[in-house]
Amino acid sequence: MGATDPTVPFATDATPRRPVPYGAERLYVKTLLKLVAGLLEAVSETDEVVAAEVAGLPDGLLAEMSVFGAPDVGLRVQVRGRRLVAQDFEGASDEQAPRIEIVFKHITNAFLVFSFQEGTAVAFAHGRMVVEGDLAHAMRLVRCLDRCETIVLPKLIAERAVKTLRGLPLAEQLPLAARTLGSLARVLVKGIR
Amino acid sequence: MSSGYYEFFCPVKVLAGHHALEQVPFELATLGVKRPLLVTDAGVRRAGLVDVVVAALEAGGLKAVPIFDAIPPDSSNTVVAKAAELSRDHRCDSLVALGGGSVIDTAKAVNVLTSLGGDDIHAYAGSGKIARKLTPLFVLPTTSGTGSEVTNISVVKDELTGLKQSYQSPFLMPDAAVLDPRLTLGLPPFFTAATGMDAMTHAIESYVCMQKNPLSDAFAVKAIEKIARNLVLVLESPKDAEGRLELAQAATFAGIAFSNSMVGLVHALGHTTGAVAHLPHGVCMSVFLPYVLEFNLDVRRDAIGELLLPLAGAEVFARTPVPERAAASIAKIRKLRDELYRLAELPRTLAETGKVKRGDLPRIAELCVDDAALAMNPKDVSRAEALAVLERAFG
Ligand SMILES: [Fe+2]
Repeated sequence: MGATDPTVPFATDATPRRPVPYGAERLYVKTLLKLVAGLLEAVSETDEVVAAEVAGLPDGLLAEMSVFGAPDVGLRVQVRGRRLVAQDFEGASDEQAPRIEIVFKHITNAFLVFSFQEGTAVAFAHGRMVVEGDLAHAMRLVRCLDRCETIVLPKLIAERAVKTLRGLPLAEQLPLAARTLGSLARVLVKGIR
Repeated sequence: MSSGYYEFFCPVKVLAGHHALEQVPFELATLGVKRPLLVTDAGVRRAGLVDVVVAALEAGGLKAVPIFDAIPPDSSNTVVAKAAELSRDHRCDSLVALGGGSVIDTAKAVNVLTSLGGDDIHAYAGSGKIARKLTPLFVLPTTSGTGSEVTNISVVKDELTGLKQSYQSPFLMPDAAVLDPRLTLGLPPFFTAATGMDAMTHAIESYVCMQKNPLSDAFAVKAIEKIARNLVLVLESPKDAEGRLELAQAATFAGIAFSNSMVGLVHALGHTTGAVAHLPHGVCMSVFLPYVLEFNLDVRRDAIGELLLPLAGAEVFARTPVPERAAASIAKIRKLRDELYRLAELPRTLAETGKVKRGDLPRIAELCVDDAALAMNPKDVSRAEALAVLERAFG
């Protein structure tokens, strides 16, 4: 009976080892989610497509991504008109505001998605995360995130992140990416509240 | 897309076949309950099915079963509250739902109130509010379509806002699905065809969409095979009990499949078209199915091609070269729709429904891209693409 049977020897060199330690995954995801929050704010300033999607969301809506078992890891953005505003995930939030939450079931799940090893839709199909809140709003937020990734990521990586890459011509993508990253720098300098 | 990881859940006991109804009293007793409330609607009662079920229950020792039969086709939170009150008045300890989708969804919601307390089901909207096991619920479906007897969802209208509110929890799963051919024998041709195509769509979307997995595939393939073989036969001879039983099983199998793998663009279009034009769900499914398969074809050619086996049988499958199988699957579905139009006047295009105007299509497309069913469609769908599918389906 497996591990409880002392007569069954275990090959020690066959013990599964983690390619990336959990602690490193946690640090990476935490850092990246901060960046993504800033990026969502930035892209809602520079890109009309995202601004139009955001305009269809209820004003004041809080959108959160969090990780089960890692209470300090996550992102929170708030809808203000046509803009998304990044908030400090560990700070207090308006309990009364409408809320939509994407919860990764484990830090490794979040790591796979944010290191672009598993696309967002595939991760959802694999049951790696759950969505809580109004699903129509979730669909809209996913479109914002997809668009955001299409703008700032190189095509090769973006292809792995989104379901159907609606690539922009490079002549369009590069200036938009530059403006968005400039805007991101501003968001990060001013600090995420 | 099926590789990697999957989850599968179906805790529902299936009682399928002849005299399945007669098994119900014993199975209820096994769960330690003695006093079920029978929840149904006036149409089912008029069809004489309540008498059939009550007689079977009484012969099994369950005397004077209280009955709530005031469930409208579009049930609401006030209906749920009334049924819950009746259950409390009679100190019921379980529920038996006899009917179609609306009755089953209502019964699930009633079970929440009678098990957890309260008068307004709306208080349980959102996630995690239904937090523990409910009292036993047995479902006796009188249509072969929704699959609600094996899903964890209930959709009930909110009387105040007029909007449909959905409730989802593993605890909403019924305890048993009872598939007895007597329950669907009297289903009129149009509803037999429409609900059959709803089940067909559940199975096909389950097989084609992103959350497919080996277990959901197994259920989906069996469901498609049973519908392809029996739907037309049953329409030609409605009293064919064997055929009816095959369709009932197919609907349950398809329900097990899609509740574990989700649906896709056919349902997203169907939900929004149904809401805008007040069309029955099954009609929308049948109208959109081939057009959506054509839309998804370039990314799911293999999966759609594999469906030719359950759709057309081994001989046709073997005779058709691999590159032509996907197109042959879609052609087979179109042929089935022509038969259903001939036998039951089930519309094949939006124009044939007579309820949708071309001018409605942009609004339907706009609403469609926000529908959660799109999340697992194998291809992303823009507003323009949704509109293009709608235009083609208009006819
Ligand atoms: Fe359906």
